[in-house]
Amino acid sequence: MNPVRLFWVNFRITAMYEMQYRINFFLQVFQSLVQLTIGLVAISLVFQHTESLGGWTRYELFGVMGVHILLGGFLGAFVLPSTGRLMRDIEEGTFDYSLVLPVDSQLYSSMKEFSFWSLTDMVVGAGAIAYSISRLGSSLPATRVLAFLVLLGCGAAIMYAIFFLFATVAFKFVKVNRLQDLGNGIFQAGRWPVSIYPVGMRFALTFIIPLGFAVTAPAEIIANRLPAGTVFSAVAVTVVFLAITRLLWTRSVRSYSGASA
Amino acid sequence: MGALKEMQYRLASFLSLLGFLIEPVVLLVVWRTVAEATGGIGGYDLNAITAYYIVWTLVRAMNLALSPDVWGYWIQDGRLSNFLLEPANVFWRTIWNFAGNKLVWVVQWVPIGAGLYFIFRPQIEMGWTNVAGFVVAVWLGYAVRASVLFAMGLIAFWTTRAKALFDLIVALEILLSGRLVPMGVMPQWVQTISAWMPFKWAFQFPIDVLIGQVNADEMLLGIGTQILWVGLLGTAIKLTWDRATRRYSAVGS
Repeated sequence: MNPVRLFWVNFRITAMYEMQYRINFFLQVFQSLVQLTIGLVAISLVFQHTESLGGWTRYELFGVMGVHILLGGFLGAFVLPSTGRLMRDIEEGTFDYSLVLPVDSQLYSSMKEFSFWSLTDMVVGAGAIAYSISRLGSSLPATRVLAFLVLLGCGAAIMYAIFFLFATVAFKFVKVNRLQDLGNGIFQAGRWPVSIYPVGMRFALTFIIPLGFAVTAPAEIIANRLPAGTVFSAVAVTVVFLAITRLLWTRSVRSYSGASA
Repeated sequence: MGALKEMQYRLASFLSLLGFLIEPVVLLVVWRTVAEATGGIGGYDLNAITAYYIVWTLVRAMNLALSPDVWGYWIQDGRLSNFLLEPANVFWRTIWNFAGNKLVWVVQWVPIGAGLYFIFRPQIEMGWTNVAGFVVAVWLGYAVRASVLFAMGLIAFWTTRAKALFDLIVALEILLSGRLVPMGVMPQWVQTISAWMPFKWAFQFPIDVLIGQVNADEMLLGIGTQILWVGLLGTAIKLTWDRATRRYSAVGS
C-alpha cells in the first residue's frame, strides 16, 4: 500500500472526526499561547540581567524557542498519539491486528492516530521563527533556507525516532507509558541552546538524545552561526537513529508472541 | 498503600520522576549562567541560586499531586462511582495515596540530588532549624498544592470543558510560584500578586526555608500562611464537594 495515501486517508479521517469538536481548536490555541507567553517571560527575565546567554542574543533565543514549539507541535500532532496508542495496544493485546494488515507494521503503527489541533503549535512556532528572523534582520539566502528546512526535517525525524524507540521498549517491558514522561522532560531541555549546558549534559544532548541537532542546529541557521558541516552531521545522525529504530522494531516484532490470545 | 503500589513499578516510577526533574535542572543551568555573568540575581548569589534549583528538584517530587484533568476521566469511565461507594473520602484517599508515593520518590530522588550537588557544589550553610522548618514547610506545601489542584478538579462536576482554565492556572503557578524563577527576580508588582496567591507557599517558600533565604520570623509567618491556605482551601473543598456529589449522576457500571 502507498504510504503517502495511507497517511492521507488516516489524517483525513482524524481531521473529519476532530472537526466535530471545534471548541478544541480554541482550547488548543489558548494552550499554545500560554506556552508562548511563558517562553517569552523566561527569555525577557534572562535579558533583564544580561546581554547574552552563553553567546546567544534575545532574538536568537526566540528562534530556538520557535523551533522548539514547532517540533513540539509536530510531536503532539503526529508522533505522541501513535506511540501512546502503540504502547496501549501492546499492553492490551490489540497490537496483533496491526500485524495482519497488508501494510508495513511500523509504518501503520507510526500513523495510526493524529492529534489534529496540535498543529496550532506548529503555526505558533513558525510565527516565533518568523519574528526571530525579522528582528535579527540578517538576509536569508536560498541555501540557508534549504539548510534550515533540511535540519528541521532531520529534527522531526530524530524526535520521531526517539519517541518511537521509547514506545518499542513496550515489547520488552509492558508497562512503559512513563517513558513518555521522561521523553517529554528531556525534550524540555531543548528549549534552550545545548551550548549553555555543562560538558557532560551537552554531550548527552548531542549524541545520546540529539536535541542539539534536532532543535539547536535549525535555530543556529537562523542566527547564521552554524558551521556548514553540521548539516551533513545532522543527516548522518538522523539516518543512524532511523536505522536503530527500524532494527529494534524488526527484532521486537519477530520476538512478539501476542498478548490477546 | 500508595507507597506499596508505587514500589511494584519502581523503574517506571523512577523514569517518571527523572522526567519531572529535568525542568528544574534546565532552569538551574540557565540561571546559573546568568548569575555567573552578573554575580547574582534577585537577592540570590551564585551559591544560593544553585542550591535553590537543587532543592527545587526535591520540592518538585514532594508536591506532585493529583492532576485536575484526571477527574474528567474518572467521571467519564465511571470510576468515580466506585470511589464514592468506598468508606474512605475521595479527598483523603488521594491525599494519602500521593503522600505514600512520595516515600518512594524521595528515596529515588536521593541519588539525583547527590549527583547535582557533586556536579555544581553549592556552598550553603543550613542549620537544624532550616531542616526542621523545611520538613514542616514542604509537607504543608504539598497540602496547599494538592488542595488547589483538588479544588480545580471539582470543576469537572459542572463542565467537561475546563482544560483552558486548568492551563491558565498551571501557567499562573509557573509564573507566580518560584517554579520558573525565584520571585525576587520578578518585577515588584508580580511579587505582590504572588504573595497573595497560594502557589508560592507550595514551591518557593519551602526551598527558601532550607537554603536560609528567610529568617526565623519569616519562617514562622510563612508556615502560618501555609496553614491558613490549607484551612481556606479545605473549607472551600468541603462546601463544593457536598454540592458536587449531590449533582453527580453516575456514568458507567
